[in-house]
Amino acid sequence: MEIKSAIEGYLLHLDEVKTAKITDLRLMTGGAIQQNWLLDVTVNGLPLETVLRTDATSSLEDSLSRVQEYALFKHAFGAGVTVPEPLWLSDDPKWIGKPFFIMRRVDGTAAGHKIVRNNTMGGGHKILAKRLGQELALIHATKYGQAELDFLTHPTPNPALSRIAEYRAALDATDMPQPTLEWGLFWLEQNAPEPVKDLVLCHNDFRTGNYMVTEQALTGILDWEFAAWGDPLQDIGWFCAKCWRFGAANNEAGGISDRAGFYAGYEQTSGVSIDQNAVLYWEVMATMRWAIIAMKQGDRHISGREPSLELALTRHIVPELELDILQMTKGDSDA
Amino acid sequence: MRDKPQADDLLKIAESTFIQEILPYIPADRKYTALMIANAMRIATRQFDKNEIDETAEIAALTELLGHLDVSDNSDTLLTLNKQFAAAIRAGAFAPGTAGHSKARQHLLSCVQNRLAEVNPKALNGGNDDR
Repeated sequence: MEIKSAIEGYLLHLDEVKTAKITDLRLMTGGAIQQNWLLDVTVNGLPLETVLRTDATSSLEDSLSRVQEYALFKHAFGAGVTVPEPLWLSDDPKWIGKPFFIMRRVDGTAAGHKIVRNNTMGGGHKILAKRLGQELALIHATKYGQAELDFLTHPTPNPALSRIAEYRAALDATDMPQPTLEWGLFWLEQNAPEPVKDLVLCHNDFRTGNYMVTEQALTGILDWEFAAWGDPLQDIGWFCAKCWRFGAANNEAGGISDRAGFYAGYEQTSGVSIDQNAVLYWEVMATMRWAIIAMKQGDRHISGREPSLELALTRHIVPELELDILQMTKGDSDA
Repeated sequence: MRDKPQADDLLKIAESTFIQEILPYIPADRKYTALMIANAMRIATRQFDKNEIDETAEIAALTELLGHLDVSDNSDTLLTLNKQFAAAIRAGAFAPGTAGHSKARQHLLSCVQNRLAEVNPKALNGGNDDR
């Protein structure tokens, strides 16, 4: 297998690697934007279980490169966030034709439906929710201005208005008018919060389905490719939004717990108390964001650029999100 | 004239046969794909059952909201009206407190519900006052 010898060649060229023999290499499922390869390798006589992450065929224009993602993993790992330990990065195309990085593999599952259904996972949903709150607070402890993360997007003029402008541009780029999404965006504009004083590192995809968990504990926060500077509440809104509860709508914190436990973990670690009303704004924004992403993914199929049943069906998630938006933005005087 | 059974009937029987006779034998790592296939067939079946979403009613509702009275018969009418409606919403013509706000919201709700009835009827039964 060509890729196998290429990866062995890469490992052997590293100063610290004297011997390297791959014992297993398999493409893991999932990942429309990235490819994850299960990679078991004996390095200097010691077995190492890793994941090799590289680009898939399609990419989203607003997602980070593998090189940037690796920098984020390094930063987060150093900051004490539970992420798989990043080991090596290559941006030289001579090995496998594209950049990749290798990280230590963590145990567990990220399958949202499974995690939500099984309330003993992560040491029990209550413990897991609190832990996730703590992890998010650790991520947000990185304030705007870190030189090693200077590639991250700075929202202009502010986190809420920059998103509204981005989503309106996305709507303008499609052929079909979307009056309900326009309705939601108008509400988001009218109710936009004052910009936060300190922008923080936002994960921007922090939700059930994007963290690894075993029966015992949380093992890793994944999927950092949308990270950017932002308002910390945007991550909290994304985590709590109804569309990311995997059918467990009553467990408002990611389908695994009530909000109190998750908020408590966050507040304890950050020392900042969470304003529930302010979170609700960001839940409308989260629902809008997922609707825009779903619409764009559907367009990739509809345009014929990338025929895919999954992309086609994702387009049909939009009406459910629109219903959520209409309900969340309902005013006191609305019938 | 086509012979029966035709598309709607064929799709329905293909879907139920797939679910009953094939799905149980699909390996675990392909189950998600199999369920997506079944879901796509169910959506298509519902669209056949419903024929067309009632475009006349939607055109009438949009005409009333936008205050346009001259609706021609050309096939782009609905698209044109929806574009105008979307632009008017963005411009604030249906902001809270305006005369058309409540009606516009009701119209949007009813359109979303019509589409949901085809693509995900379960989402209509959430027990909320709007649903």
